Amino acid sequence: MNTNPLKKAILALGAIVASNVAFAQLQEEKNVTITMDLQPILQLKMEGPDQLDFTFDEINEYYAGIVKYGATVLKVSSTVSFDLWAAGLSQGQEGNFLWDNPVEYATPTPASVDEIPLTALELRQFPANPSVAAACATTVAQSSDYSTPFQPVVTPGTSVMTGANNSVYCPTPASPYTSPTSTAVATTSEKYIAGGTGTAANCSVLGGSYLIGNQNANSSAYRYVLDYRILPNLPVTFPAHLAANAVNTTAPYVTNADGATTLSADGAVYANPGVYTMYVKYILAQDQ
Amino acid sequence: MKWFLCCCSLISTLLNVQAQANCNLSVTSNCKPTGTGSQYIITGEPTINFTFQSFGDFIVGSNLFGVNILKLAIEENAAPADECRWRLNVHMDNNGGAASQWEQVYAYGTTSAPLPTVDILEMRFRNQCNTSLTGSNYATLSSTATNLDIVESPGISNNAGTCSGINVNRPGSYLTNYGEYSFAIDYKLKPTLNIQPGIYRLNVRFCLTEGN
Repeated sequence: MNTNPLKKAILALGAIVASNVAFAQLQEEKNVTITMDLQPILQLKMEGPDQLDFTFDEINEYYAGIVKYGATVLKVSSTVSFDLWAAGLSQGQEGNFLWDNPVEYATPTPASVDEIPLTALELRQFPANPSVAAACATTVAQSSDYSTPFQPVVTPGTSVMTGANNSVYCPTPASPYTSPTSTAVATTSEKYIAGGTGTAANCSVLGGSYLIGNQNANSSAYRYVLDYRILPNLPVTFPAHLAANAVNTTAPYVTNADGATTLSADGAVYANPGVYTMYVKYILAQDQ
Repeated sequence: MKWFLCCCSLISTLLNVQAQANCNLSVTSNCKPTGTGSQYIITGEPTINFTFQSFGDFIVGSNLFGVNILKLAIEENAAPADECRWRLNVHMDNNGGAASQWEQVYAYGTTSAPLPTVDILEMRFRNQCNTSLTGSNYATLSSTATNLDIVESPGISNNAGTCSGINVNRPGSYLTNYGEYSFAIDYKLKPTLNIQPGIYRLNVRFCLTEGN
């Protein structure tokens, strides 16, 4: 047998080729690439008038206030976990955290000022914030929503109320979309309608819709009915805004709004007659 | 020399198997490979884009009908006679991600919500004679590690021409028996709520091999 190395190599190469031919099989694949673009969908449907008018032209309206029951219904459809909150704002004509005053019925005096704090507007929601009942205890206290009843003035002619929890959250005007800072401490917690600060479990509402799943209006986490109240009292001091009457006594928004006005609890400084305006943003945001 | 040849042959075989692990190669070679007699053709778009940009899209999902069509023409070797059977299956690739999840190409936002699972993609393989194992139903895969058989009938030869019964797996052609050698593919994609928004990708592989 010839042992020439070149012949060996040729034989080996031939054997490899033969081996591959022997294993040539029916085998082929076709590829299709599927791409999926999942965009976050957050839809907030607001039912009710775009403008609410509160006209105080009777004495009893000053004492009892005016309540607009069910004036706004919010309906949510979201593919992602979300937080929902209200932000009370104005154009700042009279200063930050104060209602605008486009029309004055009398010239302001030292005792009669055009400085109504935004927190004079109270909201009441139904149902309650689901994150309060759920285990988001680290960042959501019982005072972290608007579900408590509107409270009356204890004695007419004074500004003393049972501690309430309904003044609208009002962020710094320069950053109106800043979310509230809910805490586990009742006096400092800012309010959400649904959800809470942070991304921990139960500190948001899972994606879903009022259209599917639980359609029970008593417990749906995707449908909220909102009442509005403004209570001027006499003298016109809007007692709900006073820190002493708020459960959220030291919450930043209460402190800021209260500090922006010189309205006094004893009525020595009261609100000047006129037309006042403010607006409320309802903000639905992905929890992240 | 013999050992050397055996090693070369073994290495060659192993390389083939590893490269196509999900294609489940057969040990037999009774059918002619593509390019030397058999044909395997896919028509339609190589990339299919699903965009979900309304709440309704998420609830209803999206269907695309007959986006791709697979066409087969299988020829058998002269010997051994009547032993050529083919197999068609599908599997997925997600570029090395977790076996049950889509590959995330881009994330919208920073949420920690879970990624979509591969089983939300449903596929249906239709032809006139209904020869697919999955029939007229949509089928899913729950993992990139598994295959879904469209035609597979080990040890049993099912000849074409009668247009009745599933698993036609013998030589024939879409040119003469279109209803048994072609498969129109429908895709259905229905994302679930509360998964992480973003752009995702999944590669679907239709694998034609020799059957057992």
